[in-house]
Amino acid sequence: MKRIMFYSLVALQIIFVLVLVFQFERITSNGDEIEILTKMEYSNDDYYYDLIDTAYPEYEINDIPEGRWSSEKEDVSYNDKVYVLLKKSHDDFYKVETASTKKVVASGDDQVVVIGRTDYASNSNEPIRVNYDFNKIEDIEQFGEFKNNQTLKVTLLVSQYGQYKITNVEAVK
Amino acid sequence: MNKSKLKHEGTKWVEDGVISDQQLTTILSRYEKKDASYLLIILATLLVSIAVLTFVFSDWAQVPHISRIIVMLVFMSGLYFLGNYFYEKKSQAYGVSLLLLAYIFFGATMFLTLMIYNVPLHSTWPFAIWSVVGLGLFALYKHPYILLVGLLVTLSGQIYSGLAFTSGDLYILAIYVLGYFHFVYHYPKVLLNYVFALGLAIQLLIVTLAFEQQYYWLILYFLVMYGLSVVINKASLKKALLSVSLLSVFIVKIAEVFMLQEDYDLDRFILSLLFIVLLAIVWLVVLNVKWFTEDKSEVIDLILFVPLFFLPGSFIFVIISMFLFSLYWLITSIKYQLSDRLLYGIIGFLLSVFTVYIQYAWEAMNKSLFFLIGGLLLFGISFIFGKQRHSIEKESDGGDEK
Repeated sequence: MKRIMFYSLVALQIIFVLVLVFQFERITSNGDEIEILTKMEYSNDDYYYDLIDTAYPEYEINDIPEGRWSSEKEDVSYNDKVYVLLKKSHDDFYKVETASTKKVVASGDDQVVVIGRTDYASNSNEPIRVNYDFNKIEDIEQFGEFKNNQTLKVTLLVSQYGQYKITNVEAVK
Repeated sequence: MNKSKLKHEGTKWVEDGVISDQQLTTILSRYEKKDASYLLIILATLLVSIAVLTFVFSDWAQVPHISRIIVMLVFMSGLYFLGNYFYEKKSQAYGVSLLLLAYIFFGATMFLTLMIYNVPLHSTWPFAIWSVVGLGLFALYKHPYILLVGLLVTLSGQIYSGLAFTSGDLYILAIYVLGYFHFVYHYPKVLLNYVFALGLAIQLLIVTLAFEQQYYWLILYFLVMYGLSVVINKASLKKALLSVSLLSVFIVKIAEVFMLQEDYDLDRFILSLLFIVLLAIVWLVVLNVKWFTEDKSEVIDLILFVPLFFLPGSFIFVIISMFLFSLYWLITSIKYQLSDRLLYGIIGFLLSVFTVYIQYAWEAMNKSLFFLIGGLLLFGISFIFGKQRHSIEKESDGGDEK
């Protein structure tokens, strides 16, 4: 009896991890591909991204403009989980459509939901900044040589669990 | 059984005629000398495991591919089977350490999977799974160290939730209170009981802060914990819950003294009617149970759980309540020689004095002087009480000798 329990406990752990792995492997086939644009960084020192290990680009979609909140802006505090609905715009880049602390579902092929966390509690009328996990790009040099003051087009796959996979980075003139 | 010690004692028994020489030989032959090669195996396993873990964070391993996870899972299973074998056949202690290593591997594998596939965490579900597996592991082997590690894993989950998401995880709290409490209750061991009680207090604190509840809810939660200590019969768990709940509510009182004077905190203070009603009910129930089933003299503890914030100049009343509690126990336990309650009295008194000192002397004096005088004050008080205790003991000793 104890034997069976032991084997099942170990087996369950293995199966659980394998299920996770299979779910995550599916992003290449099931994930939605989006292209987003980085913001222009105005700084005096420019450097190539291959000089640093990890790149932290700022995206346009990091800012949620005033009118785009579908839930109450006052309810939002620091480090809250936010669902951001992105919509493909006319230039093929995805921009912020609405943001909410309640779950949002994408409707339509040109819409995608990403998950972020708020950066600070809103006290002013400035757009609230939202952080995404893909603000951090490791090994950016696998996509090419970039400088920090270039505008970059980042292509990534996103899935419903918030999983992401960066597939390409290009400089935009 | 230590064979050499047995041999030494055995020869003495033979000399005294308790057993015959032949009997000694028969007994000794039953005990094999402990095989020191176990230690080598454990060390070897440990080293290889560390090698695998460090390798896992290398560039090769960070590639999102199932092969990396397979390697981790193979090692985890290997450790589980090795641990089980050792536990059943050779030595429980070594077996448990291998099993726990495997358990850690499970958590590490989960987190590695999340890391390499870039899956962001927005809740602490891996900790919840890890915690439940810990319960299962303990149900299988019933070894206290397993429960200890499980408790710590669960607590880490809650702490992580508080730090990373500024939110409290109620699922983890539920697993802790329903699952782990059940086991801690039935397998009483002092260390486990205290870890459980402390972990519970910390989790309640995180949950209260993270859900931005008013601080006074902590008083209710700790009162429930105190009430638990009243109804539970297992001695060490009872004491652990008692000490931790009293200490926790005392710390809340100290914070309360200063919060009730800060405009920032007073502005954000909202009184909840639900809280008052619940607190009143629980307080009266605990009072009744304590009064009729236990030592009536201990009812003074409940003074710490009375809300005083509605009184004018409330912080002074809080300080008074702290002193009443501490002085009562100091005097009562010195008089009736209750050693464990004496500790509550001493600590309570020292903390109360410190609070008053910070309250009134912080602004007026040089900071270093504050620490100096504070330290001297504490020495003086403990010296006086030590002397009093000593003289009382001396009296009673003198009485015994007569």
